[in-house]
Amino acid sequence: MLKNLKEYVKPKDLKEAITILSKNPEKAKIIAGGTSVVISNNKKIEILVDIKNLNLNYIKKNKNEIIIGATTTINELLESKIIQQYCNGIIYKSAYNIASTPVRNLITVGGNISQVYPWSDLPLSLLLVNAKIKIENKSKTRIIPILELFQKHPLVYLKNDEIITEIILPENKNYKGNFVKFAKTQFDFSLVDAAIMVKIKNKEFEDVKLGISATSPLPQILSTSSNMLIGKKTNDKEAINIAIQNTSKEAMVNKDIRVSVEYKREIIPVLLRRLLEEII
Amino acid sequence: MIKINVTINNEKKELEVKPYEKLVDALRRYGYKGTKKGCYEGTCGACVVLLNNKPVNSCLILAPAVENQQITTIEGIGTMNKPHPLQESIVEAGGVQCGYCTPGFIMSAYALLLKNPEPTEEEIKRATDGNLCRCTGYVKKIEGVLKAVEKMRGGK
Repeated sequence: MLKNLKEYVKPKDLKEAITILSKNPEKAKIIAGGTSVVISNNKKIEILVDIKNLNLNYIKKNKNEIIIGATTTINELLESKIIQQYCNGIIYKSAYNIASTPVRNLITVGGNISQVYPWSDLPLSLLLVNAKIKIENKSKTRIIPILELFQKHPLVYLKNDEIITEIILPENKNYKGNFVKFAKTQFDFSLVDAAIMVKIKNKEFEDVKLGISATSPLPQILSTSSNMLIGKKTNDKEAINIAIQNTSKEAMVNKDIRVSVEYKREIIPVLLRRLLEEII
Repeated sequence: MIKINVTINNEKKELEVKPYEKLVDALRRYGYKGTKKGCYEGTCGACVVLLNNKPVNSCLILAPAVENQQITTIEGIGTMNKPHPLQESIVEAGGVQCGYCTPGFIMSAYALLLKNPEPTEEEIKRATDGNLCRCTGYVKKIEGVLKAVEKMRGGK
């Protein structure tokens, strides 16, 4: 329970929201979907700034990019034709098994990437498609690659008066993506998430990104293994075998009370191989 | 305490709530006891209500957040004497045992029928994936929803 919460404010615009946050650096926090803050016991929080009414709820196409407003919910992502068709549905697939219907009506895209839990499904796909994040504060607006946001934990990276306002998906022309969540049940937190982004030209891998999450605090791209495939023919079984097997070694896998590290290392190449075979 | 205006089951209400009070607690305090409190952390779905016609877990929402919004609870869709076809059919199908998950399940199904009056079995499963039942399971509940769809198609 947020025992020390005294005020719940609903600012009319972004400027007002940022002003409240910067005037109360220790006490004020942003709330959007609320699925993590509402059940927290954070005693420091005295003011919650609700950003659900700042008109940040949209998915639109701008030239070659897709722009997602930060307070767009997971179910709104799933209902969007633009998202369903984007890169072979990689974003759609990673959003599909997040929690349950009523929770997906609450969780926002911006919240999901600023809060990032180890088991969060969406951040991995956003990392693989090289999403850009628009962050605004009192004096400036900046757009950074999501990789930068994930260098440290976003909760550390983002200053108290900074708000993620948009998530921008580059076109990624001719790329195909794929994603799978591996968990004990559909509803459970993932044990391993795997995703790939592949560009194939003349039956040859022009670009490959193999990624995993839920094995460490933040999603990872397995660059060494990915690079082993670049320039290889898509029917070169041996090259694929070597690269896929390498992911098991390359991945950072932390301890998990539910299954062993060895088990996760076995699962990672299996999932990545399936994803690859589905799209080549 | 803060005062909030909210529309509950098409009635305008003024509630006095604590800033950190969860919507489920506020609703129950004001007599909407059909909304059940289960896990209290967004997993079980016993507290599902509709917020602007979309199902949400009322244990994951702070009461002040719903100011000027529309809430629908189980009390708003049917009564003992005049139950909603969903309530009637789920009882007929034997989809109720202890009853604790029932209101939340019905609200999820109700929200589905609002936007999709002819759902498939798969769509029903997907729409009610946030409602855990530990007694009867799900087969009879889903049968109940399909029955309700048929009844409602007949214009009842």
